[in-house]
Amino acid sequence: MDFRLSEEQEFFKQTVADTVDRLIMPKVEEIDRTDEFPWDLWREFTGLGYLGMRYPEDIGGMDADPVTCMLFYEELARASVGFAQSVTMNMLMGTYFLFRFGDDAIKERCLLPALRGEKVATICFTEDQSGSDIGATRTNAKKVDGGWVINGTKNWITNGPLADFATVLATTDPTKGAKGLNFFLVEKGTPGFSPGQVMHKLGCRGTVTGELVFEDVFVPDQNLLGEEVGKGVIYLTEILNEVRCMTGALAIGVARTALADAVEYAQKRVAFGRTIGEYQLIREKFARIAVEMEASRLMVYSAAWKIGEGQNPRNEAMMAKYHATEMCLMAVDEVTRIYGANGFAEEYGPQRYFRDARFLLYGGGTHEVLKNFLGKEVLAGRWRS
Amino acid sequence: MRIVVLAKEVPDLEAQVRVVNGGAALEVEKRRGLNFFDEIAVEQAVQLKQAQGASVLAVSAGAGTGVEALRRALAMGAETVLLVDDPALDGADPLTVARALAAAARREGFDLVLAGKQATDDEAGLVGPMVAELLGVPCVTGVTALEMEGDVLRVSREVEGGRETLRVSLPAVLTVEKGLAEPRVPAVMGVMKAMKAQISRVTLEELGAVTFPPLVLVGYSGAPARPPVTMLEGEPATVAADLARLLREKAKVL
Amino acid sequence: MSAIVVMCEARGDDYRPATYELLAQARRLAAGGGGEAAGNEVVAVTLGDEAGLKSRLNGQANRVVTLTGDGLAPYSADAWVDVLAAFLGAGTSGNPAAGAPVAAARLVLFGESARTRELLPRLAARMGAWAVTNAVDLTTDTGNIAVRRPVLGGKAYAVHAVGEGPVLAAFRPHSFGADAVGGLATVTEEIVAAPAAPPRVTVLATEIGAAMRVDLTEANVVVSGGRGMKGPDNFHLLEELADALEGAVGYSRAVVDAGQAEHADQVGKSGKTVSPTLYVAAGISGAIHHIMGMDTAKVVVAINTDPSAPVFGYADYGVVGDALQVLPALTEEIRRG
Repeated sequence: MDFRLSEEQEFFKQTVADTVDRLIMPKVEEIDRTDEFPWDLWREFTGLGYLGMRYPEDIGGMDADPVTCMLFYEELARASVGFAQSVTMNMLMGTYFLFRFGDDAIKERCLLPALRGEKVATICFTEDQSGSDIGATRTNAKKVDGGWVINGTKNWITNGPLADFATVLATTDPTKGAKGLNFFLVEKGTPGFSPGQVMHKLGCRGTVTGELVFEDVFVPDQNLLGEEVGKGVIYLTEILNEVRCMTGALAIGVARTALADAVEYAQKRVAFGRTIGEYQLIREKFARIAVEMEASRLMVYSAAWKIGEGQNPRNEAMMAKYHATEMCLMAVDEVTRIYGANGFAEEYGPQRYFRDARFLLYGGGTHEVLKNFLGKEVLAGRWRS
Repeated sequence: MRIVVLAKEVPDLEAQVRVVNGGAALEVEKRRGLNFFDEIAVEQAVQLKQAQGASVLAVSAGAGTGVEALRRALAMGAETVLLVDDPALDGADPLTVARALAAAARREGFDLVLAGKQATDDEAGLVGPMVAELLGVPCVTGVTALEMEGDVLRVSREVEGGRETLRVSLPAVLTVEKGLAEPRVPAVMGVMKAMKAQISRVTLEELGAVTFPPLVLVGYSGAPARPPVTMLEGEPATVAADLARLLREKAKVL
Repeated sequence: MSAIVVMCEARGDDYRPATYELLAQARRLAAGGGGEAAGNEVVAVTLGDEAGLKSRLNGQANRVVTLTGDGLAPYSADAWVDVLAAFLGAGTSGNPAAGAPVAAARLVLFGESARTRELLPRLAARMGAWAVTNAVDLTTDTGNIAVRRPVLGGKAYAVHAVGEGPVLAAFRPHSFGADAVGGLATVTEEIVAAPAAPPRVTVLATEIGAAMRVDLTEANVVVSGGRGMKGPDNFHLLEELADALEGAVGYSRAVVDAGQAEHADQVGKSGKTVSPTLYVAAGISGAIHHIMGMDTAKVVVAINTDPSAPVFGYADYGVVGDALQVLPALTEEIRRG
């Protein structure tokens, strides 16, 4: 099996890494400290044109395969997983259904500007009473003449308060649970559609997360993103594997930075006359992080490769997300321990990685839900090693 | 105007280095990229292209290396690239490299050759001016500012204790210093072009370039570790005198 | 017999210290018993206007050669390359033949400078000679003459054998001491030489002292101040030492956070990482955060009133004392030196 990246992919990865180091790295502390959306950085970075990566060249994309995309996400998260969350909204979740189902006018008005970074996109699932349980979605859409009227409130929406348009998961038939769900496009400026409370988070500061409120919001028929009513959940599965691998790639990126910092620290910090890297219990931490990171990398990239090959690696993508996120949480925890009390100080990076990493627990499914599902798969004989 | 940029591929500044085989060789971590100063040269060339419509060719020379450097040049806006790929370039004398690059420039045609003032792996700064000599054209090293009017270049450079402004006519070779231009972060269009590009290759023989035997390498050694601290105590005047003497004579940094 | 030639370079009314250092090393090699260099003639070469200083070279070399004439003053790379190549015994001018032997000169020593960076490579290409720059040592340890230079940013060192030569080698400042006794019976040879063609580069203007401010990350010398400097009123002491050393000034995070200095001048993990030849940490305790920004400096001097300050664990020279007193004393010493 040839697990190597192609020469082109190596070049791409190096170029993105260098771009991230030059543009984003110098700003990450300030972004965390001020908790403000970095508009200048957003414009500069999105202006380079990477946002359309996974989309076809004829709409300004790169036709990039999933493995290449993962390389991009990983490098981005190396600097700031918060900024990465905002960027990836425009790259995948916030634009996919417009690409897939939007008419030409919608593409012109929303999709293309989003890929250029000129508009901010988002997707809304979560509500006060429903996270993992999307069947319990209460935001609803009622058919009226020429369109739909949407009512409800969405929570925990990345980019929400800044969004120029949102892909909204709403039910057209609450009795059908998950089978009654649909995606609707709602644009800023539509009467009744407004940002609600901003949520102040432990980490991933600088990416604005908050409520979106829909009060009798009318959208025309074209804004139903989908061929049929009630197929929302099925469409979601088209990108769910990719979203999960992406989360895994982000997790690897954060862990890499934390590890690199810790390596440098352990090589220099002296205790009892020796550098702390010479002590076995410290070395054990590095060994464990390295082993888990290597495993995560193989899982994430192999699942991504399968997506690129046209397969449907549903279990593998879940596993990759679960494994990489748990690895990342372990890594950032251990890194703060390696730093001793300095791991608790704002002056050093590890506390930020620690705070930011936790956000990866939620995207793409909580681990409790994923493991429950995977356990069932194994017991049903639908997964064998 | 035809611009040829000399682009050297060097190990990443953070690449780990180990002395191996008892000092006979160095093992260098395989992270390579375009030499920092050559990147400035590429940027300057691309700016001239955008301002006056010049053509930009980036050339690199190595034994199985150079592709990364050339792809970077393409991503930044060089139109074409050429790789002089020859095993004889492994451990080659700078004069051999200069002969290869001069032959390439001569073959492709040039009005202006731009190169970084030195490469970060050896800080030698030899190849650029050697190429000028071999091409029989004037050379200005360490350029920090550049203006062009027709065929005449007005350049500035730092010299000890000051700054010089000079005039030279094309064809010429300039080696560039930090501050001349800020290398752009390549946009995705350039990156895609670079990823898809087929790199043309040529050998020393095809260029008619003859090798020059390198100096005999006696061996490599590692960087010396910092010795335990020498503590100085006493009256400020005495301590200062002692310290100055140590810095001058022992540490040799003054 | 072969010669070790030293290219003299002047600044103002004397030759640069490097000139004397190189001559001293050349004499040591020529006098040293048994090595390849033993018995070589030490030749000092000075050109154009600088030849007027030649009496300063008396005793420093066996032979002092002056190359003067129209076209050699003021300095012009084109003119000097022409004349030097002819003097050192090139093949036909402008057409370097592979491996053409240069008459007497086995080794030609230069001090690293802007001028050397222009002249040396072109001379090597013209003559078909070997070139080594950025060198730090010249020895006959094994009997053979060898040149030592750092590679990969100083992570390793390479040693090359000079052999029969001709090798043109440029050395960093202070690679050698200038303290060897001169005392040679010097013969002066005056040559009037003309360059083969008029210069192709014209100097339009020279501004003295207009050099760009040295960037912290590139400075050869960095003088950094921390809380021990007791406030901005004393920062001039850092600047004065930095000026005397032609370096840049940096600050610790504590000082920057207190609003006493700009973040752009902060040295440390969340500020700038510097790798100078000389780093002076004044009134800095040495928090690991700061250390990570400067520990690749070649020589580190730490000044702190607390003998157990962690910074001393990362320094070559430690001064237990008050930076406010030690810094001015050191500046005075440097200026006097």
